[in-house]
This record gives sequence, structure tokens and C-alpha cells, in this order.
Amino acid sequence: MAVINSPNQTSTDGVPLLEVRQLVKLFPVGSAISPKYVHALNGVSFSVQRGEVVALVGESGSGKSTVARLVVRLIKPTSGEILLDGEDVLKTEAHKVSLNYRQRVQMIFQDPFGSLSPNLSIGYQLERPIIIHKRARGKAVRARVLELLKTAGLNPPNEMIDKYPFELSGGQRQRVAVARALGVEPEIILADEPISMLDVSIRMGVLNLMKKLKEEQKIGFLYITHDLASARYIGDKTMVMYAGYIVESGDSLQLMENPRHPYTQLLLAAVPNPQAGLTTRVVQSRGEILSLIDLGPGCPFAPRCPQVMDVCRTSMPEKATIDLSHWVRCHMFPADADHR
Amino acid sequence: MNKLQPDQNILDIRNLYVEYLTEHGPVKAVENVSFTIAQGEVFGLAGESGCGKSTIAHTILRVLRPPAVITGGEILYKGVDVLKMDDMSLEEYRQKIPAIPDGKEIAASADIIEAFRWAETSMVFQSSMNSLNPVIRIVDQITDVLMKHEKLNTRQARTRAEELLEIVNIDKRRLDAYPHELSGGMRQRVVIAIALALSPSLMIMDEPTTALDVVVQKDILQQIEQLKKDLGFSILFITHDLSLMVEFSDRIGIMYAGEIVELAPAKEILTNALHPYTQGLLASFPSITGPRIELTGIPGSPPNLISPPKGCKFHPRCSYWDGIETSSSPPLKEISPGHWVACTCHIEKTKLA
Repeated sequence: MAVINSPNQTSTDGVPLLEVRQLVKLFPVGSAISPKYVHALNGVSFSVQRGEVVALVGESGSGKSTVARLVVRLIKPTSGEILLDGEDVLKTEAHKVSLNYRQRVQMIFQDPFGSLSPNLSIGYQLERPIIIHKRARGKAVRARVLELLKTAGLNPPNEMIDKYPFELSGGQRQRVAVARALGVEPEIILADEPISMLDVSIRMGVLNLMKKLKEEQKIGFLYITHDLASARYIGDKTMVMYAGYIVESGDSLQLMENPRHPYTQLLLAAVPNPQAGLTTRVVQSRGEILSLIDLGPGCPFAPRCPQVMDVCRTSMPEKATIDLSHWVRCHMFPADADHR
Repeated sequence: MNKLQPDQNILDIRNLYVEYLTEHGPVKAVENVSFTIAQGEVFGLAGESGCGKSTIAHTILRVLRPPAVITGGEILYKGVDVLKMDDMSLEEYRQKIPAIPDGKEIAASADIIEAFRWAETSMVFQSSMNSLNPVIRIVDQITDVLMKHEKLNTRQARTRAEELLEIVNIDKRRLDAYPHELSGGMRQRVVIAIALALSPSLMIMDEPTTALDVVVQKDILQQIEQLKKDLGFSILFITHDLSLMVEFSDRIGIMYAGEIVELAPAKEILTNALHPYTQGLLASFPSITGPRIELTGIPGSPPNLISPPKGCKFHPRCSYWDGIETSSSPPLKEISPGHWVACTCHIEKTKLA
């Protein structure tokens, strides 16, 4: 796959670090007599390069967390491919996720209070993955832990190492979560709403840390959030999800300056933006996301779309390239001839 | 009947002190807080976790329980001290608390505080989508409040409930649903409908939209804005989301470690924030327009409220601190009309510059 104008380092032959193709995930609900499925993901494809932050934006029910859980392989997809450096891991390690995969693909969770064990010291929790993944041995382990604490901005490291989570603030705990993920020297980190539970003045510190890691260590990030502003701040590329589909994707600044999909426009209009002045823009939002069980053949946004046309109710639009990396799935734009 | 003067404030909090008693010592949650809310005004109280904003809301409604203790101050609601309401008789209450709208029947129950709650002041709590009783239908949760305070039979109460749902834009056929059958945004609107049920003069909203998606959030706040214009109530709006608050409030109070550090009209806060903490907060919100600028947030963490920093509580995190240790917090001073700031180092330097 050729990469056009990418400022980021890719692996040697232009193969993306992570590529996801046509991921579908159905969750069974209902009974054996009347089986029903929640269509959490309906064919999602995207890629993440080394040193690239891809922001995945969507509201609850959009499927963004399902994407993370599939990529980190906590759950199995109904169909689709997950390629790490061009290799489909669902084929090469179909039944048991290898230690190697876990070392290369790490995750940071939303809840800083829930993702650390309360009765183990910070030092111990940072040591374990390093030892398990054999990244260091003996005295080098402690040295590595101290280095990680310093990188994550947890100072002074030799005091932090013996503390317990309850002694730390939410922001500090989230930094421990980042340090823990870093310890195994991952190539890609999935961050699922890492700052939404943190105090506002602390959020920037954690985001800047992620930015630093992307720039200095060329780690790829999939940054999942419902907050467009932070997606724009840290994301090189932004993808907008709705009801299990990616409906628009492109360079963050470009996409938010010139959103094409009516849903993206709705999201942008709804973000509180005091810099734009205090005029209250009236947002036409009729209803909310419909049930993901009875989705129907058309575009899931049709019931809410201010520009809905007849065709929108009967078929899901395919990808239409706007320019370079910016594409949209909307019947207002003619689909590419060779859509995939 | 005591009539409320057009320029009389709905709420006047004076020198409020609230502590939580713990085995390690008292947590000074609210320290010498004073502010007013005018009729029909939206007053925003902004601050991060632990600043005391939710404690103030609970104090106004008299829902504080031990170990919380009110150690000083007054909360004047329509001129009457809420903290002393228990000692009033029903006649006194009816006489002193002017009903808005005129002619509204004041509750006949003997419990003054209960009459005060819901009928005069109501509250929308944080994550209130979870505060609906899961095993009771929506209709019963609304009519329950109505019938407790007003002389209505079931049919009249139901009609009133339908009207309330209409106000918040929910199809009245959903009345017989259980909470889990409604989406998060709809449940939040039901809670708002209940809060409006008895036409309160003051509505307190504590993070009413934090758990909601940004589109639903905007929708709900626009509806509340419209309701406020139609029904004329005041709002105490509490949130940590400063950008949201600036859009929605008339005046804003910024709280830090139990104190108000800046108080000004919303537009002033946005264009001319003077307290270093406020400036730091505003600098923590990345923009969706314009060039990408590196933002730093505020270094350090919120202080321990059992043993807070001496003098200005923000000084350990403040880049403008002049290095002088003081013994007490800087007082709120009116720097320009309507704009109050509690800061000595930075403001003095700015004035001299």
C-alpha cells in the first residue's frame, strides 16, 4: 500500500505498523429462538503508522471502544483482518495471543482508579511486565523502572517507586499506566479515553506525554475519545465513527476546518467553543442513535441527517475520496470506483 | 405576602464555611465563600475536584450530613436564611418566602425544609441519569413529587407529568416506561423535568451533562436556556468544564481549594482572566479552530485540604508567586466593576506594569 505524503516514518517497505481491514463485530443478544445481534462494528478499516497518532472519535455506541478491544485482542472479531507489520495475526496466532503481540501492542484504559492494583506498589506493578516480557533482568529491572517513572514525569522516581496507587492523584495514576505500557517497549499504544476522568488542569500533561513518546520513540497511538478538541490537539489523523462505521477520516486540522459528513459537522457545532464567541448556535439534532440491533440497510445517520435523501435510507454509502488522505462515506459525495 | 423586589437577589451566600470532620483533622471544604445570584441569572461555579463546589450545592439544599458541618455564614434565599429555616413556623415561611409565580400555593406539609426543596429550589445531580429509581415507572417518579407538594389526584398529576415531558421534548407515551428503556439523554431530561415540576425559583445543576455525549449536551442546555427564558428561574450551574460554562453562564465564580479566587461576568473571564489559576484553566482547553498551540495545563496537583498551603492556597503551583510567605489567603478585591480577584502577587505586578 503506497503512502502518499506521509511525514511519519513507516517501516521499510511502506507497510503500515497496524492495519485493520473490514472488522466486523456482532454481539449476540436475544435467545436461541429469536437470535438478535448488536452490530457494534460494521466493516471498519484503517491503518496506523509508526510515530503517528490516529484519533478515533465517536459518541457512546459508536463502536470505538470495541475497536480497541479487538485490536488489543481482548475479544475476537466476527470477521476481518488485523495486520501488524503486514502480518495477519488472526491467522498466524489464531487461538492464543502470543507474548510477542502483547509486547508490541499495549493499552491504556479510561479509569485511572480501576486499572492499577490497589495493594501492590507502583514499582512492583511496573516491574512485572518487564520481567514477564524479559526486557531486563536483575538489577537492570529497577533501573529501568526508575527510568520509566522519569520519562512519565513521575518525580522523584526513587520515592514514587515505593508508593501505592492510593497515594497518587488521578493524573499521576494515569502516568503510571503510561509507564507500565512503555515498560515492555511497545510499538503501538491504544489509549481508550485516557483523560476523560482526569481533572482539566491535569489533562494536558498526560496528552503532552503521549505526544512526546510519539515524537521521540516513534510509538504509534490509537487515541480513542469523544472529545474533538483533544483529538485535534494530539491526532495527526482523525477518524469519525458512527454506529459501527467510520464515516469520515482525514488530517485532523483539515477535517475539522472543513468537515464533509453531516455528522462531523453536527459534532463540531456541538463542541463548546468559547473562543468563537458566546453566540448560541442552534443545533438541529433530532433524536439519538437508534438501536444497533435493527440497523437496516441504509446509512445509520439517516434518521438524524439534515441533508438526508431517499437513497440514504436504502443503501450505505461507500468511501468517497475528497483529497489526499481525506475521505467520507456519504451519498452527497460520489463513491470511488475501486472502493475497499 | 412579601413580594420579591425586582432587583432583589434570589440567593445571597455570605461568608460560608463548611468542614468535613475526619480522624486526621477537619477538611476545610468551603472557606469564606460569598456570592449572589440575581433573578433569572445563570451563575456558574467552576473548579476541579475537591474545590468545594458540590459541597456548596448540598449546603444550599440542606442535604449535608455528618461528618459535614457548617461552621459559619448565612445562605439567604429570598432574604431568609436557609440555615435557620428549621426554626421557622409555617406561617412565617409562607409570609417571608414570596412565591414565584404569584399565587402559587405553598406546600401545606409541616416540614419547612421539604417545602423549600423542590418547590423553591431543586437540584439536578451529577450523573443523574442514574438517580432515577430503576424499578419504578417514569410517570410515578414524577407524580410522586407533584402529589407530595400539591393537592392533586392521580389523574391531574398525570396530566401535569405529560406537560412536563413535553417541556423537555420527550414523547408523553414514554411516561409508562421504566428508566432503562430510555437513553441516557432522555433520562437526564426526565430528571430535569422532575426538577422543574414545582416551578422552582432556583435550580441547581451539578455537572448535569458530564456523562452525556456532546450533541445531547448541547441540545439539553439549549432547552434549559429556553425554559429559563419562559419560566424565569435562576440557575446555579456547577461544572469543571470551563468552556461549556462560559457559553452558558452570565457570571462565573472560579473556585480553588474551598475559596472563590475570581468572580466576573462570563465574557470577562474569557477575555480578561486575572487570577493565575483561571488563566491556567483556560489554557487547558485545546481549541477546535486556529493553529495548534502547545498547552501545558497547570503543573502540580490540588492541595491537601486538611493542611492546605499557608497563605494563598495556589502559590505552590503559581508561576507568578513572589516568594513571600503570607499568613492568610488574599481577599477578593474588585479590580474593575463586577470583576473580583483574590490575588496579590500577580495583580500588583500587573497594576504596576
